[in-house]
Amino acid sequence: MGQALTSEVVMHAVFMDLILGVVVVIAALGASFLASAPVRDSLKELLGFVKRVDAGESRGEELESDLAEVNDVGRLLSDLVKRVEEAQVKLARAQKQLKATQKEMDEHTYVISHDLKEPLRGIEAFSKFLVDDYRDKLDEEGRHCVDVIRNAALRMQRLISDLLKFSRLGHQRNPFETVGLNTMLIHVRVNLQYAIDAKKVDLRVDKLPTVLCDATAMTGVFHNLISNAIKYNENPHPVVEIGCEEKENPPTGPAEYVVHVRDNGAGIEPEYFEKIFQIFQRLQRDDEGTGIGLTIVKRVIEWPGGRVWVESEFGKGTTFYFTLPKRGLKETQTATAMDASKTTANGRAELAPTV
Amino acid sequence: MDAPNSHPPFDILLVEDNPADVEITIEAFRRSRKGNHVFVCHDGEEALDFLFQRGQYSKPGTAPRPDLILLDLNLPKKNGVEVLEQVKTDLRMKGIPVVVLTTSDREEDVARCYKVGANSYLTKPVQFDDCLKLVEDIQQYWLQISKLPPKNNTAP
Repeated sequence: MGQALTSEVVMHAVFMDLILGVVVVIAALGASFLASAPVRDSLKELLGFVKRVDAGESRGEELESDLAEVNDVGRLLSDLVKRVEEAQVKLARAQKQLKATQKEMDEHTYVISHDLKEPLRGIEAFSKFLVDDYRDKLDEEGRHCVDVIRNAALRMQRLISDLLKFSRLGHQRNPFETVGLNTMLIHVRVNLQYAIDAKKVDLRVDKLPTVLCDATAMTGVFHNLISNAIKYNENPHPVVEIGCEEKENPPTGPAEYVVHVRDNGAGIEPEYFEKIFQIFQRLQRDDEGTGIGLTIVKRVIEWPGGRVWVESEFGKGTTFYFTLPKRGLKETQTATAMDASKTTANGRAELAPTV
Repeated sequence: MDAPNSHPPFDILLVEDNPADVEITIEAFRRSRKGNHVFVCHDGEEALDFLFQRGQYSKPGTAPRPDLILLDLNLPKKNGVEVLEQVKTDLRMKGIPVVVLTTSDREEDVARCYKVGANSYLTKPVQFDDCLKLVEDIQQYWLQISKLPPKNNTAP
């Protein structure tokens, strides 16, 4: 938290410097325009100077202009560059510190969750011994109490396991690899087959791209989103649709894919759009879920700089969106990986005998 | 044909400091009805005294050479890895299979234990039914399926 504040303060300082600089430049330029020919020459010189600074060719070099004001502006500019650079160093340091703190926190969570398991094992086992060995001596009320204890222990076990899973995401990162999302979804579908069959879900998957990602984590993202779309879908004809849109020039930055998982379930009210991504937050009570799924999704997507959000019309369905950066993937790689994914998807049986 | 110790009861040394875990493991052994003997040491130093028959275990007959060691990692005085290191560097002891039985599933712990000679690494389940299954499996694999070194063989 402290680190987050620090980086905000640094960013603020950088912006203030920039604004100050721009104001000074404009004021100086305005004043210079009042003069004539020598002003134009000096301005040219100033422009050249700014360009060199911009290209990173100049740092502390002095302007040789006849106009004192232009020289002043030049000095201010190079001073400004220095300050921005210093601020950048500070920012980078703060970011590094923030990452280290986060890693440390994950480590702590991991160790604590493990330590919490130990007493839990005692509670679980000994309440079982109580039921097994003293069943006759307990009346119905007594047996009910022990049942409640055991169920609470089981629930706590699930919470701790999920917390472990979550903290592991923080300190055990897999290297990014080229992954065909359609192939990945074949595996996800297999894992969810039971739930899909039980509810007769129409799972539609569009053509998806090949991306650079942590394959294990990304499988978890799809698994979580699709299983949620099935689990909380009470529509008599449940449909889950997965698609992707390519954004070449989004206002948010470089080219990206926007993947969506859409269902025709009950929908989510806008007041919960943010809350559902918080750890252990659930919108309805169920026996299995702990409410970590979407928190994990958020973490996996946001780690490499992506965004995840939800759109929903209450009563009509929900769509989860997340972005995956397009960068780092060469065209040739895309082609081969796409071909490979097609082969695995359709032609594994045909390939097998020749191997 | 059979080695002298290929029949139960086998002697098992459980090294575990948590009293609840000790009881749980012993109860699991009791319920598995294999009739094996379980000896318990509560810290790493006691375990080494037991194995090397010294200190409180110096009187003959108090500490038989175990057929199998179940070893927790997080132990007072000397931790599990230190016990493991001493067992696996001692010519008389290194033949005894050591099964690490711990809560930790950290990759570093797993790697370190195998590096110093652990024969198996298992994580303790939370639910008793799973503990029972694990204890049954351990006995089946290490004491029934596997052929163990002869018990009184002190040859290097």
